[in-house]
Amino acid sequence: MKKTSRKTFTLGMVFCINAILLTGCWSYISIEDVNFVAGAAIDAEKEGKIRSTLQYIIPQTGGGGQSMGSTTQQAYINVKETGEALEPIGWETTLKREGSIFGAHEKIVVIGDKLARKTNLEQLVDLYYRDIDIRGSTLVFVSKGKASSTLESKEPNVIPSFRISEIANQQLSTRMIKPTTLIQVLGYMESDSSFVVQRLSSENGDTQLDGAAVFKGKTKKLIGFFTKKEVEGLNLITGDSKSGSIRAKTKQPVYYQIEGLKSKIIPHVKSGQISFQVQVNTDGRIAEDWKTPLNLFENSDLKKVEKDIQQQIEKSISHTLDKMQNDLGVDAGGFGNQLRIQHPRLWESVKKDWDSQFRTVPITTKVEVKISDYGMIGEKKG
Amino acid sequence: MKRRRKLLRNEEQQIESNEETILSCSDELSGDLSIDLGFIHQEIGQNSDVHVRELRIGPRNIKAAIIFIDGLCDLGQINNNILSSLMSVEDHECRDNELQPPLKELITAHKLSVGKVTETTSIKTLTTDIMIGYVGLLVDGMCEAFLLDVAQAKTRNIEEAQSEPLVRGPRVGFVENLSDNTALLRNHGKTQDLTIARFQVGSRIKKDLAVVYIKGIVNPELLEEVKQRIQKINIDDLPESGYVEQLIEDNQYSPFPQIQNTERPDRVMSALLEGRVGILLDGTPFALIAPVTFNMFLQSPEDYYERWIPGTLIRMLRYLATFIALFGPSLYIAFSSFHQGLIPTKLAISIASSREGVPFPPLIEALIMEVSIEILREAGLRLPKPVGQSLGIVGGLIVGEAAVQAGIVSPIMVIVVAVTAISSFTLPQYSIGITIRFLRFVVMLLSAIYGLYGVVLFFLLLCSHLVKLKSFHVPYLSPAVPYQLNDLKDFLIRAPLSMMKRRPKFMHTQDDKRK
Amino acid sequence: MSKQPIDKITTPQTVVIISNFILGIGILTLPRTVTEKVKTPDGWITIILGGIIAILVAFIMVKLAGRFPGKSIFQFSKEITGKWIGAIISLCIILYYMALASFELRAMSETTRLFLLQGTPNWAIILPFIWVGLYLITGGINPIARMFEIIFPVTVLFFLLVMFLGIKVFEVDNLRPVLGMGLGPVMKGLTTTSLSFVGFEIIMIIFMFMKEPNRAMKATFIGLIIPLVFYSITFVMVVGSLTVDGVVTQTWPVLTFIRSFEIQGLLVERFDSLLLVVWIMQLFATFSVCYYAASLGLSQMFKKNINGFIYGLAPLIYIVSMVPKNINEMFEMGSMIGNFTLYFFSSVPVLLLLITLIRGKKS
Repeated sequence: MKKTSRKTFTLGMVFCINAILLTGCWSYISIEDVNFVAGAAIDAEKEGKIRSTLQYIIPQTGGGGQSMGSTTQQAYINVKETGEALEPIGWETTLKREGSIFGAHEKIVVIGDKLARKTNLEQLVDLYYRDIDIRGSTLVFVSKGKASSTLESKEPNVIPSFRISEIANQQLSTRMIKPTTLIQVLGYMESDSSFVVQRLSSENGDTQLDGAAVFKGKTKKLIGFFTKKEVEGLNLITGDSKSGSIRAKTKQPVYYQIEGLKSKIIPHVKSGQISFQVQVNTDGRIAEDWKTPLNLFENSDLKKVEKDIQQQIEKSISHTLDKMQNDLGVDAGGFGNQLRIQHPRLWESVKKDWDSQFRTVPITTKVEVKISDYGMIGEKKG
Repeated sequence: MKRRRKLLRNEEQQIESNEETILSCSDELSGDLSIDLGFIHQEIGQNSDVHVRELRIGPRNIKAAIIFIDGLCDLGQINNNILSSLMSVEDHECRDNELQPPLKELITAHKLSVGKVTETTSIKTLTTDIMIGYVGLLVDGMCEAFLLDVAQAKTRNIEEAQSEPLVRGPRVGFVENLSDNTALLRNHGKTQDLTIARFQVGSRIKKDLAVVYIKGIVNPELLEEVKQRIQKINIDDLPESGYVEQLIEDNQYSPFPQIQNTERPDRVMSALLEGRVGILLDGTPFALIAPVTFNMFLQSPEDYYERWIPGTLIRMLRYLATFIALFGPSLYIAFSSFHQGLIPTKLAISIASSREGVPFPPLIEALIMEVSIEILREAGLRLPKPVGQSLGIVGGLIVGEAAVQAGIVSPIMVIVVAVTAISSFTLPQYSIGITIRFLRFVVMLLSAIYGLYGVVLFFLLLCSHLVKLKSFHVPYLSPAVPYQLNDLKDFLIRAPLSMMKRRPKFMHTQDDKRK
Repeated sequence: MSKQPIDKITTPQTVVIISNFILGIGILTLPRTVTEKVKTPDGWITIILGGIIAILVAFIMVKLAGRFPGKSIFQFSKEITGKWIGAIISLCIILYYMALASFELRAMSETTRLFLLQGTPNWAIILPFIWVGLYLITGGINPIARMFEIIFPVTVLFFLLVMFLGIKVFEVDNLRPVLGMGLGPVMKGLTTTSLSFVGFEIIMIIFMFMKEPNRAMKATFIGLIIPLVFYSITFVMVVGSLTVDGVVTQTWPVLTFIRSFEIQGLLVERFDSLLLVVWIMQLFATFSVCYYAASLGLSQMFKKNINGFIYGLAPLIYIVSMVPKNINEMFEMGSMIGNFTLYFFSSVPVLLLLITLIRGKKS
């Protein structure tokens, strides 16, 4: 028995190996034959078509010491094509350039504002969720004007998509929002909640992060923008920011630098009436002071500045809230989510048209500012 | 003499006609020196290195002869301790023409100042023993011959073990002589429990083989199994312990060595103390240790000689190196031609740009480099040492550099191959190194077909094989599996010595505690 | 291999076999299947309750098997119910294991094709897998147990590591409120979660191999607690990152979760495919136990050497695994097997135990 089984086993092995070796390597694809897509831009085109721009990375030939001479060569190429949807565009592209499209290293997706206004986002990005290569951590942006122009750069050796994603991921300033990934967008869209996406604007080949785009949860369409200033307010509400600065209301510039920011949205329900309180706690330092009469060594003056900053923050928040509730009419600050957590049963009843309810909900703010430091210089007492 | 020879020739013919009966009849010594010498001559006389020296003992002129092989015996001892003392039997000893004491006692007790004297009556024994280096002494009128051990094997000095050098540790390696080796072991572990059992193996060329173990520790079942397997060996010659290894191992189809070989007495000794059995074969400096477990191949005695923290770290490093040596190129193939999405973007781009213009797919590229590295290594091994070293440098640096310059392989491939090759050098045992090097090619093929799935398939296959493998009924992967918490102290880590107070559980030793 | 008539396995090995068998393809879809039913973030409570139910059922099974030391269910079912009914029960179990082996194979192949090897045909993935499994199980229960002892720590540690790397995208808010809608929805998912623990019934087969049968209860308990903890962690991390609504739309929520973050500065940036690769080992474990259990059942039923059945089953399992035409049919096959398990293994051991208890009193 044992002998025969060994024989059978060996025969089986030989058969397997033969079968595989004779046909093998189905999924093989050489790394230099694929086009790495760094980013993509989608714009509206005439007759309801869309125009897609894929940013291919061009590998610098002859790595190491030999690449010295190739500094003038551009590190990327933008391949453009129009079509009805992303899939046929992709295939069109392969008619023009050799190599398959490889999306695993795609960092950003930029959607033109025109397109975002008229097309359901869920439909637009469906391909990105189905495609197995494209990562959920790919960042989503909306452009001011043509999306394809945000993927241009004048500097050689810079891949614009990488630059944008790096800026967004570092999130240094309160004037940009926490980067929105594809997977987060999916969560928002599935739960029909409104959300914001970072907006990009491009001028003379320089792309910058400029405000935010607001999508309405129900329609999944772009309905408006926040300016950079309003984004600051939004960040103060959500607390999704690490650093940034706020100007005190003085004649000469005095700037407060945020070093710590904690925000909390507390829903209150009293006899069916929903209200919110936004609590903001921040600490930071005076970063710049243009010789004002303030003496920062004096606690009273310090308190004065704190009070001033506090008012500025409140103003900024209320400005943003005003825009949300009155202009846009959507909840883009995650108020509904907090209501869901604290009052799940109530939420079930209001979630259907939460955005319209949100318009009339009273929101109060409570801000605490603590200046802990004013840098290396200050006027000495006496 | 001439007449006798004729007579012998007649006898020879008779032997041929009726071999068995004659042989058994003529195997006994007759007692007549000249007849016996004739027989011996017939047996081994055709050899030019057989020397027969006839002499007379004492004043009574008793005829005697010593027979020995040129070069195998210590001539000085023959002259001083045998010839001169036999020849100078003084008068008072043969008073009244009567030997006092009797001749046999006189020779053994008074005359032969040689340590080891045995008697035999069989011509066959006599001749075979002479052939392996004994001096035969025949005395006229006596039916017994004496075999005197004045063997002087041509051995080399004890040197450091060539195949397993250590920074710290005894600079002693086994030599080719079995008794030297057993002596080394006894020197190394001075305990009366160290038992050395001798066997003779080889059906035509007899070789001494010693099974060494420590009484009171070794599992008797294991010892019995080892002895049985050794007794079953049926081959005409065993030139090296590798023969023994291959003839007694559990699974000869496995690529993995199931018995450890070592040149180091300290290694054998520590294995014995774990309850293992050592096998020494005459004529080779490589001792065998059985049973063996996989982790032993990745351990070096130095792990224990150094303090436990560096010992542990270096051991882990070795495990990592083994992993790289086995999977390095295949992972590169998998990532660069199947799963480009898994690696960091910048790495992917730099691999892509380094592969720009390389005409071969990664598998062929890797095969070219790996095979040429193996060729270089083999060439370096066969060449005389100084040449071999420079060949390594020439091959490694210049060929690699030139291949990159010529665009045949990508620079990253060179790095991968170099790291793999260097990793495989960290394996402290040559035998497992060969296995890993061979298996590396198998994984490379699989990963070229299936990518990471192929690597996993290979890993599963490898593990399936290893868990099925046993060395003398001890699971090959002990102590990793089956889980044995106590034994894990000496697996990936090397616990402080004070914590390792027990012998490995999986060895089922008689005495569990290390006292 | 060894001269002993039956190889014995240690208690830790029993634990590992049970845990490894339970952790299969199910965990990759578990957050979705549970959340689909529960519809609140409280699925983890459901999982724990499901685990407790599984432990209770396992308790009955151990009691049953404990009455027949040295015998597997294929043998003692005959003793309890007579030759024919016993044979039917054995046959059901054998078919169940065969089908489960085929399902795991196909599921493994489909996920591998999706995430790792687009374009590679199913047969090319399945054949070598069966072959490696066959090679392992011809060694008997002991090498299988040792194999699992290797697979278990590797996969479990890697899985947990990857899970915790995802802490970056985890938001505890997504899991709140706890029991916001009360216990009602939690109960709805109980069937699904208890089914996710299927596999512990292997104790009725491996009990005969145990070196210390008196510790079978403890082994089963620990063997079930490990997947319980594992499932809970997975659920919490995945739902906490993808939100309840996000999880429901994902075919493989666990892999989507891992896709949603990347770790910079390592040799590998994405972990979804890598996790799948490691998880293939876990699937291998599940597959080989099924395969072995089916072969063992056949060999005990017909009282013949197991090797013949092992070779005979290989093509059968392959054919069954190729039956589903697409991924939907594959999931259908999975739920069919699940339903069978639910009815069969919740009723038969209880009945068998009752019969033995009644008979035991009579005699």
